[in-house]
Amino acid sequence: MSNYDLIVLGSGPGGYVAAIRAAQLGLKAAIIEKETLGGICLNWGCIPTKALLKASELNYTLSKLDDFGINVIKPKYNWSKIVSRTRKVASKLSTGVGHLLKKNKIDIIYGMGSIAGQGRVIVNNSKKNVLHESPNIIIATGARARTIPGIKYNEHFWSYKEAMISDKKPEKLLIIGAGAIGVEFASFYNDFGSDVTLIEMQKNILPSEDLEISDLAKTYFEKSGIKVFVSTKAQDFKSNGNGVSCLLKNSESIKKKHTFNKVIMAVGIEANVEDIGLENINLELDKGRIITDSCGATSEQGIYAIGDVTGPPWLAHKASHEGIRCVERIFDPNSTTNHRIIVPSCIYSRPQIASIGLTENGALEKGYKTKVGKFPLVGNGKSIAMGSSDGIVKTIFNKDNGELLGAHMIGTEVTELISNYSIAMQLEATEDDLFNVIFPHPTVSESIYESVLNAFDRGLHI
Amino acid sequence: MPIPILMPSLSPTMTEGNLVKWSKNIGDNIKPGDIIAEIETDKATMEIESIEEGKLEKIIFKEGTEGISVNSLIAVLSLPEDSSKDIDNLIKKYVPTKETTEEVKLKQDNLEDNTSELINKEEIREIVESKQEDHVLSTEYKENIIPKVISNDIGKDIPAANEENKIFASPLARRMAHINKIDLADVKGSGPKGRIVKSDIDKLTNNYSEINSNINVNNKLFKPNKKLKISSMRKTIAAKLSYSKSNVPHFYLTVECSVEKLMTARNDINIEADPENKISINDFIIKALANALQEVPEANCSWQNDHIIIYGNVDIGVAVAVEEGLYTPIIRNAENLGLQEISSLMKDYIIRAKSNKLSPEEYEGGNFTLSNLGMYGIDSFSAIINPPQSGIITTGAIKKIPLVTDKILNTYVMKCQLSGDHRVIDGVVGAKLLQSFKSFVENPAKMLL
Repeated sequence: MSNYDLIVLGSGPGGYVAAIRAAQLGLKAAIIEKETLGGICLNWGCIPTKALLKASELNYTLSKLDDFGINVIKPKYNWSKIVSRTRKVASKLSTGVGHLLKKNKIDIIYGMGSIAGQGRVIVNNSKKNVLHESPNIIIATGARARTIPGIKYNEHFWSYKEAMISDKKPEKLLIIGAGAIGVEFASFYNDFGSDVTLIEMQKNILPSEDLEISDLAKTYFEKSGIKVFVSTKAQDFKSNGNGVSCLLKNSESIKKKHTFNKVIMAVGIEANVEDIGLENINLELDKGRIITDSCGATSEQGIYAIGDVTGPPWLAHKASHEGIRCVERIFDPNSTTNHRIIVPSCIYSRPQIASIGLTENGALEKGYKTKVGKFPLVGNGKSIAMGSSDGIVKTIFNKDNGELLGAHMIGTEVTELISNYSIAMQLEATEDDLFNVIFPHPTVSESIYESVLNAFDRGLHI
Repeated sequence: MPIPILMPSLSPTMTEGNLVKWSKNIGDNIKPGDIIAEIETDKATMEIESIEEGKLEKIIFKEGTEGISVNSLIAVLSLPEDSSKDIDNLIKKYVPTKETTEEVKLKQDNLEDNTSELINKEEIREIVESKQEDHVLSTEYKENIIPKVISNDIGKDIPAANEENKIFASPLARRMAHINKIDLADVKGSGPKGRIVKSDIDKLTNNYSEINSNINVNNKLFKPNKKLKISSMRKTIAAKLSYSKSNVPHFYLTVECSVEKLMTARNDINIEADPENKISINDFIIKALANALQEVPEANCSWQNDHIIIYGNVDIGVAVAVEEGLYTPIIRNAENLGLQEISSLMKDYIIRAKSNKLSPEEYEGGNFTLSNLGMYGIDSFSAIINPPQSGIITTGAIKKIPLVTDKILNTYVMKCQLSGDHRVIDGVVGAKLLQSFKSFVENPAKMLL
């Protein structure tokens, strides 16, 4: 048995960052991990998928080299090397997390952690139970892919995990669910030449994005060869030797039979609240997610929760931020600094999509009077020079006081641009401040400036 | 000629007033002495009487309008011979001309239609001001009136950080504060290192951030905060006492007085007195303080930065709690008043204080203050001096305690505390004052001398 100031359940980007912050503040921290350091993000999420998407982007770029006057003999790819590279990337980063934890003198306890009451965690490893005690416990157990009842993941039905380590590229692929995970796999397999069908139950793909961006994304995906069906459900799955047949039913209830080699289920996320001893404490849950205040405090004294286990948006950077905030509040319960949580979101499809704050409709629904500026990348010199001028940058202001309410963009590398808005929003810049910012030329970031100017009818290059 | 009715200056510190109520309607005939409106000043709500005769022709500011500058036109009385032109001319004399009005209207239109105008800060301010002012004016006068505020506020910049007294605030918070006429100096910043951020202004305008509320905030664990309007009185209390506590070096002296004789004396007086003539313990204490200040005149003084005033008379303010805050009506020349006079003055003050009917000259000024929380069972407390006064004496609850002499006796005692302004009163002077005060309290017969 050991005593700690803080025990963290789960070593994903929420958990390990929380533990490091605790160590920085002089707390003795331990982290419990049942599988691999770094959690889903590092091992089965953000990082390896980005490695995959880099490969598919390169493959796509190769097909465009002729536009730049470069001739290459038809390139070949080695599928297993593509996949194994992503595993190496993941394991490199996971090892890195291990070093970071060690450097900060954080105890790593492998095994399945379960809360045994306030201040007590039992870790089960190879049938041995060890009790650890700490007045503060952070639950950072994350989330997992949701399943559709009646469907089990197998060689034909893939979750993100199987989709990431396939042994060969499927010829015909169905992706169910056009959220971030669905569209990223759609882009990946499409750019390697799979015949990809992407279906979404709701009226728009990427339903949480700004409607205009979502519509543009659909147009671009279709242009790249992905078959996109909205308001569509898949049913009556039948497995056969080569794959799966099913009926795709659209909003007019017209059913059509299709066959696919593989199906990727990307229908959402469920919090990991099972087998961690929640029955031993008095925790309030809502739809299977742990309810917390803005600093991660739950309804139980000394028990905190951060990241995906507390609900959407399911994003690593949100979990890390919450982890820091939670630990700082544990360290100094009287700290009164007011953090505003504004979480940017990035999707690494081709083209990329990035957003922050309210969508245009969301702002109107909340009763804001808005001023909206837009700038298409076709007006941006750098984008044209790079040969990728598909896309738009959209900025939404509160008309009454110039507050930045949200920003939405689609286009090449826009995920690297959104943090401009993160900074502006966190520092509470108004349009006057942004008018005074100098964006370097030639960069894609100039389109941020133009989009802001456009909201106030001052656009220069449009 | 029509007669202008202006926002009166009801106290020396009053710069603006709130129009609480119109007691007369447009078209009513007004006689001298008629009450035409109720005005809330920084301390009290007062009725204003007309000194002229005429018909109430125009009302310029609606009921509920706040922050009307002293000497602004608030209404117009007309005489039978006045033409509507005479009346318009009078109004024009007090408010800017029609052309300017149209300019502002133009700018307002610009805000609606041509948003690029927003770039010009000056204009935003003007537009915002004029928009905010609109609802203030009664509709029939909208087209003729430019609010004075506009001309006064042009050139007054959005508060910016200056070298001496830096206020850290986000650009958005600054703009929102400006729009909502909030002084950033009054805002407590909750951002990093106390920076004033949007949510701090939202809290004051009761407009919580939507963006913040959609993430992870557990409504079951939190009850919403309530937002209260700050009354003029509360603002005055806040400003005055913050000034005092930060600028006046307070020191505190405590003494315990036996009130055995005082209670006997009071019983003896009251047993024969009619109910309305009964004397309270507090009346004795006022008298005792008045006598003590006469005996120790160097304590009856005031720090005036470049000189010190030693007061001739003894004017004692007595703290009276009311619903919204407190008043300190003044017993003037208390050293020359008898107990009965003090008592009946106080009774009248208390009744009128509770209904906000004290006039400013009754509560402004004073040399020293008395505050009593004995009725709430408080043993003793340290009060904040009401500047430019030099001190305040507080009294606590009267308690029965055992007194050991040759034998053990029960006796009544009361704790009294002096807060003194150390710039003008040193410890020894304070101690002398408290000693003298104690001797009057303990031997009330001395007050007869």
